[in-house]
Amino acid sequence: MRKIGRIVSLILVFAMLATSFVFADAAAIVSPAANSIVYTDTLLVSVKVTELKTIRVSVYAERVVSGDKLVNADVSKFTEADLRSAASSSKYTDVLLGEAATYTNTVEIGFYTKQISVSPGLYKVKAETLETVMEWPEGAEEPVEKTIVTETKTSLVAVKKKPVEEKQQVFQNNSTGAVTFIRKILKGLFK
Amino acid sequence: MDWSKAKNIIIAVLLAANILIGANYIGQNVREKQRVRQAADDAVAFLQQEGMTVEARIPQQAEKLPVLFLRLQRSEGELKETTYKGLSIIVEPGGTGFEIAGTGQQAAEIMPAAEALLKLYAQLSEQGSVKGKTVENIDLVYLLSLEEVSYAAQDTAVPAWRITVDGQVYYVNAYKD
Amino acid sequence: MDGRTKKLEKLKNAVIVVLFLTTILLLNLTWRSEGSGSFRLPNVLDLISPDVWVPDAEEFMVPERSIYGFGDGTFSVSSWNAPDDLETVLSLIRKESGSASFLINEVTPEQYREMFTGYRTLKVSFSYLIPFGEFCDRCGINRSSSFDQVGSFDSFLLSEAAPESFFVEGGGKCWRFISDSEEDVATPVLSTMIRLDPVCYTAGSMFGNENLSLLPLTDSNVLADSSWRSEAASDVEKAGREMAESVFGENFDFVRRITDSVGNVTYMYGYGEKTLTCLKEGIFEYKTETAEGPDPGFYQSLQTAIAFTATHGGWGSDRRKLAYVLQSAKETGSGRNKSYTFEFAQVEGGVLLFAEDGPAITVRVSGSEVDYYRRAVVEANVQTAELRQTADAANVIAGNSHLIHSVLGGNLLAASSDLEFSFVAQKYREASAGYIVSEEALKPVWVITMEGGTKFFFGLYDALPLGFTRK
Repeated sequence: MRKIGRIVSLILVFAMLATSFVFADAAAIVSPAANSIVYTDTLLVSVKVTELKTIRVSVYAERVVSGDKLVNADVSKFTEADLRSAASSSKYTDVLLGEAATYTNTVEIGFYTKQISVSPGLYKVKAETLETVMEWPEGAEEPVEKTIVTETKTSLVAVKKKPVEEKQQVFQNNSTGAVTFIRKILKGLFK
Repeated sequence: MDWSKAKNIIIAVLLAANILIGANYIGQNVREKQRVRQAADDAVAFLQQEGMTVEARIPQQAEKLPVLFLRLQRSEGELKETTYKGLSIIVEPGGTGFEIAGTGQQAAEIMPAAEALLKLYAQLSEQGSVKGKTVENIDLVYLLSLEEVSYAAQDTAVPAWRITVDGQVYYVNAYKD
Repeated sequence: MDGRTKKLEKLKNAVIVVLFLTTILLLNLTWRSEGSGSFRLPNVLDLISPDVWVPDAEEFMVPERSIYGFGDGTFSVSSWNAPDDLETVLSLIRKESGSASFLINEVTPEQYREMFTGYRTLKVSFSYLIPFGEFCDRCGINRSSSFDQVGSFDSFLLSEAAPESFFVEGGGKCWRFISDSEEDVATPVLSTMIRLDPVCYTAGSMFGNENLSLLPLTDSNVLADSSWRSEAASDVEKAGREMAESVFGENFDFVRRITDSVGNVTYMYGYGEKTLTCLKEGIFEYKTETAEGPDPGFYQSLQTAIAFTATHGGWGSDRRKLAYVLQSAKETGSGRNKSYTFEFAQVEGGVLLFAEDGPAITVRVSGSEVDYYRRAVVEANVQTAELRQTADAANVIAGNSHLIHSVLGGNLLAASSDLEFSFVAQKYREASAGYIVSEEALKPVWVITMEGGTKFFFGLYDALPLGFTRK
């Protein structure tokens, strides 16, 4: 009897996993964009859910060991390439910021949105799609509900402080400097 | 003060004023009637010159008239000919019953029949020659045309000159512009 | 003898009275026959009576909102600060235009995006386009012929990205006005910007597209279901008659009056050259033949619309506070066939009222004459409740994207809800709280404005669809 129960629960789990492969990508992290660099002290977390599912969203600070403490990673010189390699690096420790939040989508498309205060460093946003399955633990008379993660999406973002010299570069291409210089000369000539 | 003498003077002055104003009023009316009759004669003469015969008697000046509000009854049945101040009320197209629901608060002057005749002449001339046509009848009626408004439960009839030319009936709005 | 004399004197008295009365009577008859006609009060109102309140066009030229961008992707929006912010920006521009000349460059979409999202920026916006030249003239801004490249505008911007310049935006384009004085005009203003709740982000940040229109992250409100009735509810027939008298003047007693089976009345002059329809719900619609004529310009046309409304229903009794805003102004045609259509919305407690079939007052002016006027004004009894969280604006849009997509006539072959949502997310323009006039009550709603101006209404707290404007 016990053996039959175990087989049934295994079948159920595999069936759920199989269907989750067929209907993958229930959640997608819209913000922050993966491997992006932002200049802000608040981070917008936006996760798009396209199925009638529940997701769990967690935000982690990727910290590094410094002496006997964990400190924010120094991302001041990070490029997008550095972010891509950081994803597979083992030198970072995930430190959960606040508590993980759950969001249940009840319509065709829904969004989980939240604003998080951050300081310069490396951050990871994780969105896990949750499923409730029935499992038959050993020795149990009846199957019990268990929440499993069927899909995980992550997005790494580097939060930096905007250097002053980067400001006011938007309109440099207009060559306003040269035009203004010529206008000044002409104005001076005809005064 | 000799009030008795004063009263005599006042009576004499008021009497003289009454006579003057009265004579002026009567004179105005007479002149107006003459003018209208002359205008009618001139109109008939003009039409005859243009080849139209006018057999109808041209009505003289009509009193001021208000609009009429009619409550429409769209049930089938014999159309009741109703009148207002002696004028027939015509609802076109026929077949719709009605009753008078009220009148407009003010009355406006009615265009002389001769002027309506000339307006009709102008309209007919645009469509072709009027030579040989005969004006058989001209009278004042109230007209409600339902052609463009078929949903009305209550509508407004206005005075119109109904002119019959060779058996064909035409209507000309009788209010002065 | 005394007795006879007394009787004679009494008789004389009577004769004098009679003669006096007959004189009056004869004079009256004489005047009438001379066709002096009757005297009608509405004729006098052709010259506007001093008791009729005619607001000035300037009172309606109020910006809809100020957007404060903090350069880190976050924004705040304020409607009550907008008039003061506009005056601050205009005083800077007036000062610069008085002493400096400008080089005007068109800003590329990429530059605009970077400026708007990456730098501290103030944007003050109207909800309609205004001819830039006329606006400058009215506001005392010295302009040169180079200003003409900006046809119509709806926003001014100041930005940390170019603090010596100001920007003018309208019709999908943005122009940078570079002053040769090179004075930093923007920083003193931008440094005083403060964050307001709720924080807003671009739709692009939330939805993952390029849309720069703003959405609040979360919001809360006190608006609650409220009662309303038509302004004409106490006596619709009388209100209709008064409206008809004001429209037709001395001809009122001679226009055709048609009543249908449910009680709606149409007044028609001539063969339909002028019509006034009075619906039993207290809605009035006036139409006349469109007149051709020289274009009097935006402001003069607006003043004509305001004056016409003042004498045909009015602007309310409280002259201290105008209860209407100019919500939309559209120009159609050109030259002698140019028309201006102005839409005015009612405001109750700082919140706009909307209805599916259109705004409270619509006036179209062609060649200095009003040829269309629609009035659907309500008396509202606004209630408020305790402050509570509203439905998430992003999810209001996402959850109702199928409906919005169908109404906007998107790709009917879009098989997936994701494609429908992408279409809607791209077309989204604005989300604000308001009331919708529904049959049962004034209901608090999210007003979602899409590209092209169509507005959708969803329950403010439950996101249920409650209608949309049929434009």
